[in-house]
Amino acid sequence: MSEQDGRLDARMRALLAGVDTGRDFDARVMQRIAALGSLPAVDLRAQFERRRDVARRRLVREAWSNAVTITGIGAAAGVLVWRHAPAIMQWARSGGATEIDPWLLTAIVAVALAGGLWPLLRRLPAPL
Amino acid sequence: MPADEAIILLIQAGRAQEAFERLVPAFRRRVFGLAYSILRDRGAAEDLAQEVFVKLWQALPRYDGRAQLSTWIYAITRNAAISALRRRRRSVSLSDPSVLEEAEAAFAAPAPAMDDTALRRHIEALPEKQRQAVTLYYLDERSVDEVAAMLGLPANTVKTHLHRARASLAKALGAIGKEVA
Repeated sequence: MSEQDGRLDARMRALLAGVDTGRDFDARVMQRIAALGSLPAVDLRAQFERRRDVARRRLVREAWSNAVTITGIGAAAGVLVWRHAPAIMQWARSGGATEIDPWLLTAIVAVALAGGLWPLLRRLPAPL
Repeated sequence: MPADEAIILLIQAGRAQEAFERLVPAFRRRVFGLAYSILRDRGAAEDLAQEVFVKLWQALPRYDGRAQLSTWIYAITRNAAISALRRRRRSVSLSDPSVLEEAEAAFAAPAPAMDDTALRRHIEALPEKQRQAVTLYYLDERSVDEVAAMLGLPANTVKTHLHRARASLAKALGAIGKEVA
């Protein structure tokens, strides 16, 4: 360290040496805290339990919502099949089902399933 | 056991009052120092430090232990100080008579000798981050790492700010010394 650096360090320390809070700072803080009246809910465990309860209720709500969506999709699919049953039966009897490529059929079913489940997957809750 | 850990354990045990009674003296100088480095006014820094401790008390239940206690406190202090600085800048106008008087007096004053006032002026003239870093570094002889944590900057950035600030101040000090001689 050069002489100039040492001089600067000493000057800076001396300059900032007197910079401090008033002596009664801590007491004034505690007075202000006391004057706030109501203490905050400081029990972190209680806070944690409360947050967990909220999350649990949200999960139950979402589970119900998912169940209703699945039922709705199932019912719609059932109605669709019911309405077009004669055409489907005719297509199956005419050998349409056996002529179709099994891989293509698998792909169609997979896409239909993914399309049906996508809205549900999007609504899955984030991990806690 | 370090003070921070003891305070966290007290918070987790629901003994907030006791935790706070330990937190205030443990962080008083650091909160005040950080506020002072940003606001550059002892009275304003002390008022802000009071406000910060009230905020900390109110926010204590939300402290989840993910960040270090000191990091959390520094972030609250920095945000409060920056907000206070913005409010002050908005409220102080150059057309304010008291500001004009002060500016005129400063202009009319003789060139400063090698006194604290001159050094203070040089510190004031430093870029903001350099000024904050150098103030915190010398106030309570803090390490570069601690200054970095307080300012929320990487240690290497703080080292650079300190190096530039010290070089600038040393040069100014030398110049003033020569003027006096």
